Amino acid sequence: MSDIGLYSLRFALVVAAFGVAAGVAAGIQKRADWTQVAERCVLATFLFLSVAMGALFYALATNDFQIAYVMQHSARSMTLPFRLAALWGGQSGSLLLWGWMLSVFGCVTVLANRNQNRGLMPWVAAVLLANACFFLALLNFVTVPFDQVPVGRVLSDGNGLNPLLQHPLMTIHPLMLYTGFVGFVVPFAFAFAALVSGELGTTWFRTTRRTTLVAWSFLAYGLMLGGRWAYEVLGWGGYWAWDPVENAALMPWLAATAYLHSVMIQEKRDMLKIWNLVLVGLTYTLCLFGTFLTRSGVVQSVHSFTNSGWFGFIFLAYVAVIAGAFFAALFYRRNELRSPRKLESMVSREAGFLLNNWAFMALLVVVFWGTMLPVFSESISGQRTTVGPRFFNTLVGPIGLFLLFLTGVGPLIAWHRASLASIRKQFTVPALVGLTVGLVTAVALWGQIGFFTLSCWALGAFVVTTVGQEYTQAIRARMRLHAESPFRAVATLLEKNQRRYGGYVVHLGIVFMMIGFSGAFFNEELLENVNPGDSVSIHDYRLQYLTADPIPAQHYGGARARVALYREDEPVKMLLPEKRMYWLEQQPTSIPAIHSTLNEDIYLVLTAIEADGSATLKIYRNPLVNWIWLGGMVLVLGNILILWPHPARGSQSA
Amino acid sequence: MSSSPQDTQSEKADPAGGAERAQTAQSGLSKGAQLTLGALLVAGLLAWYGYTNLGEGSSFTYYQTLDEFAAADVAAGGQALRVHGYVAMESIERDLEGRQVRFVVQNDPPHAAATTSESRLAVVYQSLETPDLFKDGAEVVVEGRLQQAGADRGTVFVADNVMAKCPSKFQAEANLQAEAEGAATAGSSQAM
Repeated sequence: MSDIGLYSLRFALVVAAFGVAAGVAAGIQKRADWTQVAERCVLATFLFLSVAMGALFYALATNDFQIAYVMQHSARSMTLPFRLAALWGGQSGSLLLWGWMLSVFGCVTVLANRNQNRGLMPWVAAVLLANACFFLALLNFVTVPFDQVPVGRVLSDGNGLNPLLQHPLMTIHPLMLYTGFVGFVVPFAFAFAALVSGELGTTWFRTTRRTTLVAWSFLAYGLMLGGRWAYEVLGWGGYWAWDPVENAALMPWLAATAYLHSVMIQEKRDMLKIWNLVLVGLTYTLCLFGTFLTRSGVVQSVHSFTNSGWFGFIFLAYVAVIAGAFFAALFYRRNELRSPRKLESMVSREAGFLLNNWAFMALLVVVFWGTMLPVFSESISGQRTTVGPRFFNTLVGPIGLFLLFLTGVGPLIAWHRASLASIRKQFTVPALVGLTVGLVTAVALWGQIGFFTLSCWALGAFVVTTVGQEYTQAIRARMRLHAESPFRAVATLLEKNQRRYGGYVVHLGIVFMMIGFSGAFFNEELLENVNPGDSVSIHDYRLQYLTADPIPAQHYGGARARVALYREDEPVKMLLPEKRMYWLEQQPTSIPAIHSTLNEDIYLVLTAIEADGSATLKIYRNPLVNWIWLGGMVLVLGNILILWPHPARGSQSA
Repeated sequence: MSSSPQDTQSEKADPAGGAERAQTAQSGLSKGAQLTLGALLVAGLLAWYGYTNLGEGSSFTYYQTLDEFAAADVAAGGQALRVHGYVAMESIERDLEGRQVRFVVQNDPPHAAATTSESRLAVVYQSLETPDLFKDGAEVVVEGRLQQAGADRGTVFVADNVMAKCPSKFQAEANLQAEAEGAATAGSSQAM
């Protein structure tokens, strides 16, 4: 089986390399037949990579420990879903997943563009396959997923997957993240093709609009699931630690969010053409760079993969070549991309989008700088300087609030130049609501609430009101003009202007998430060493430690504490935090117990069962944290509304 | 939003916009210059805000290996540092009364074939909340300051944060041959 995988990787590389040549030849000579060859190479690469994926899945499913990758990342004691998920638990497997997903997106692109964009397609295919080539070269020569264990050793079991990754969320989180990362290759390939071929019109971004949104959405889900996993598994009471690996995934998302907004200015006003291409290039570069950060161990991270230096070097060189080629092409076309139009007023939708882009770029700079500081400072002064979460929180907070403000302002303000009258008409109600909420909370929680939290809630109320107002105005207009029922009107709005009204729902999700983030201001934590029967109080809760029982033996053992949770002396529920020991991996893991409500979470970690029989408990009270996940679900709903296919309008997307 | 009617209409009625452009040209400061000024203003504000809020030095910390730390001859009571090393075997003491954990960090992994460094650092962690992976031989990063332990008891590293990591499980397949040999001889390379 491993030979099948190995050879399909070989074939895939050959086919992909041939496809690059065919695509370039077709592009230069404008030959339709060679274009088809390049496109078929994309399909063939997908087939070969699928076979390789299948072979590795098969090896994992059948416990073929003669394959080093299976030996290192799987074990008999793991259930089938986790054994299969081990495919992205290690380096070469996750690179294989990268390559395969790239080919999936490639296939979809080729099939969707059979009858359109014929001038761009040879270059698109070439760019897609050139990227595939790199990952295939790695998989064939540097980190081969089908390598055998040394001859003569027969292994009956493997090392197992890191227990922290043996969690349902971790089986899908990498998939989501990679779908996001890889998906941006499509807009990148089209932008690159536009630059090379000189077809610089609106085709490249109109064609890739849906794919870009899909990639953006999945990257967002990946980030959220990662946060949720950290919260449920890592046991430190938080969801985001500004770890380099997390930042690696956040950075492309920031660039992509900026792009999603600024491309609207190009659609409406034919402005910012160069800037949009810069953002597309930047997004994909950051996707590659993020993969590089997670896979190379360049930046010290508590949960990064480490590796020998030269893998990192090859990867970085590839990122540099891809980005260099793209930006060189952009530089070459810069004069053809100048926009005849200028910004007319700072009080306009365009200006709002511009400010939005600045804010996202500022966030990106902060995150990038904080993440890379150890590397930069070491190369300059020889001292590795690191920054902690405080650095990020301090700088990201105000920029985030500014963005929240723009989220409310942007959609209401007119294109070109907003008149004073229209501003008054649009903003009176939302501003009043925001101010009222701010004032009421300030009075009610005087002395207990910080300026940023207060602003966050006031701005949140402001944004929610603007969204409500947009919907009600549009619904009323439809009811009056078309005599539609309110429900019918909502449906029509979402169908006729799905990006606008779906986008508002996404904005709502973001507001909810911001409210969830702001809850961290009120967090309380407590560390207590308790004997059985003792109680600990936090806020209006009381936790009584009863017993610790051994966990029934399976592929892990350990202790499970029974802690009764009371609120104002009313019993709420029994919390069962665990301290597990994974035998095979010899790794202890704390599984926190969480009592979750919309108001707050009580988060309990069994830090240790001490030698004298007492237990050390860590208790967190995390107000509003559930709003983050609620916001996440609203975000998903918004994405569905935006991406829902409405056949009547005709699909023009890849 | 590709086809909202009022937008396309205003697109056609552009002469007003053209007049505006002429007006701004007269006013002396181009929109480009205004934008640059605005960007500079925002960047300046953010820099000022960051400077005033992060200036205490608590958010920026040096990261050193224990050997680098020892060589730097850090004085007690100095600035916060992050020091990387390994927990010395059987050095962990959990002090439930004092609510602290004491242990010793050494520069090289305890099971390393050739130990090149003698650097050791006594650490007092001001909490009982040790990470899961924290145990004898674990790779750790301790964050805190060097402080005077008592009148004549030398210095101790007072940590307010301890991070532990599990070397081989998070490692990519660095060198299969070495690992396989290690597994064959020691039979315990899977541990940690």
